[in-house]
Amino acid sequence: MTFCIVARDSASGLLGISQATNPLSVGGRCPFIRANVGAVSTQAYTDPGLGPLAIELLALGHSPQKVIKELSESDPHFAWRQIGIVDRHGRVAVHTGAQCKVHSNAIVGDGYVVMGNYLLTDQVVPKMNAAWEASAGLLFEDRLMAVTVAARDEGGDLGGHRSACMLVYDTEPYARTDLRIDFVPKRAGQPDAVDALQDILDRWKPMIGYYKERPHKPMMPGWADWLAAEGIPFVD
Amino acid sequence: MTFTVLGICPRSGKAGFCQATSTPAVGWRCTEVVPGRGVVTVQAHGDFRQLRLAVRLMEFGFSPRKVLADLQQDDMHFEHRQIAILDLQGTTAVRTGARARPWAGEIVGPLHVVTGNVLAGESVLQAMSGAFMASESAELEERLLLAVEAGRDAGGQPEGQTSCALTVYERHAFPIVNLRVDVALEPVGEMRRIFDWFKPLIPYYIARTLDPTSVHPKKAFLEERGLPLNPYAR
Repeated sequence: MTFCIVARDSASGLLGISQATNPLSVGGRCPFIRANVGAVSTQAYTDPGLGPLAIELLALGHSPQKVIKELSESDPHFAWRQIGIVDRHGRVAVHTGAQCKVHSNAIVGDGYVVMGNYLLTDQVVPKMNAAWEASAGLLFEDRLMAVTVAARDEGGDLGGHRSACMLVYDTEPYARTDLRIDFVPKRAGQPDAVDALQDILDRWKPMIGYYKERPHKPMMPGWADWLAAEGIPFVD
Repeated sequence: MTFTVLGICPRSGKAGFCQATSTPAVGWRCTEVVPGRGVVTVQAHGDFRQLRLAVRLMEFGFSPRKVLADLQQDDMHFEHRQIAILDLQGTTAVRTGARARPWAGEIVGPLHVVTGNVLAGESVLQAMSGAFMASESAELEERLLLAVEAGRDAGGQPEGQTSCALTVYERHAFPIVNLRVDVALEPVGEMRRIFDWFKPLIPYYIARTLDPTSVHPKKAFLEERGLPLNPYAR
């Protein structure tokens, strides 16, 4: 009941996750990233505790493959989970449990995994993979978004798209992009949570540079003035 | 050579243990509460290093069965151990090694586990588990001590007890009860004596830890309530 990309940008080392699902607040349960360590999404019938545990194990130096094995030995309900892991080195591992509902699958590539469960068709994940490959060279956030939109456009989650999120970490211990759409009502012909995520990302994108700088330079202009000076005035 | 009860209380968020043994200072080396995770004991022929490893694995977020499996993989004397793990969801993993001395065994019950070795018999654990379950309306620390008292009254260890420990955590990173009788002729009776005296001080020490300016000195606190300054005062 969720689709997701977990990825590392090979050029910059950024770690990111973007996902959407039919229940509320996917960003509160599924994505976990620690800067310079790795990114994990635990979804399907998730136990959010597996996210922080996986991060701890990655921090020990375990490979994503080993982390999946450790989780499988710990979790008595492992067959219900779908878990994707990308570490700081771009190593990838994924687990799709046998209890995940049709269609469920995952594709692993160099430094990323696209995966989903309870999807409308078996083409959703391949389309995500294609969108990732086709978006090479774009801003990392735009690539994550392109994958998420591609999944939704292929039918995405069988139950619709009420929540979505995007989480991206640079080398700081806090996120560089942390966007959450926790609820958009499911109404035919109306924008869904993926559309809302796209909208907020478009507004947020110009500010990424600002919030990278300001923690170390609090005397710089306010965000709206800064955007205006950059020639991209903010429009509500 | 120990009998131990591990318990949790979902109502209050408490987790703790009480135990007694024939050797000195049991509270030092066998059993720990891991705040936010659960309780673990590595007893019989305990090993402090195995206990530390178990605590660390629980802090990570591993389930009881995984912690037990990892301990087994990393211990050439595993059959000498008696290990019990109880997490805050009430999930357990328990194993009494083949080399734990008789009578040895365990009972897993609702919200608690009792384990023991070198006991007078299985009736010791049955009495402990029964006392825990029969005291549901009491605070966890009271229930744990009642269980160990029942174990003692059911015969405890053939050679008697030398030490006793009682530890309970609530929702904080520090214990709200952490009492030890390290050497005594009748350590469970001593524990009852000091616990009954200490009970009014439980909220006092929580308040003092969180905000030292919020309470009077202990002496004044006790005198205001007409309580003795220590459990041995006449």
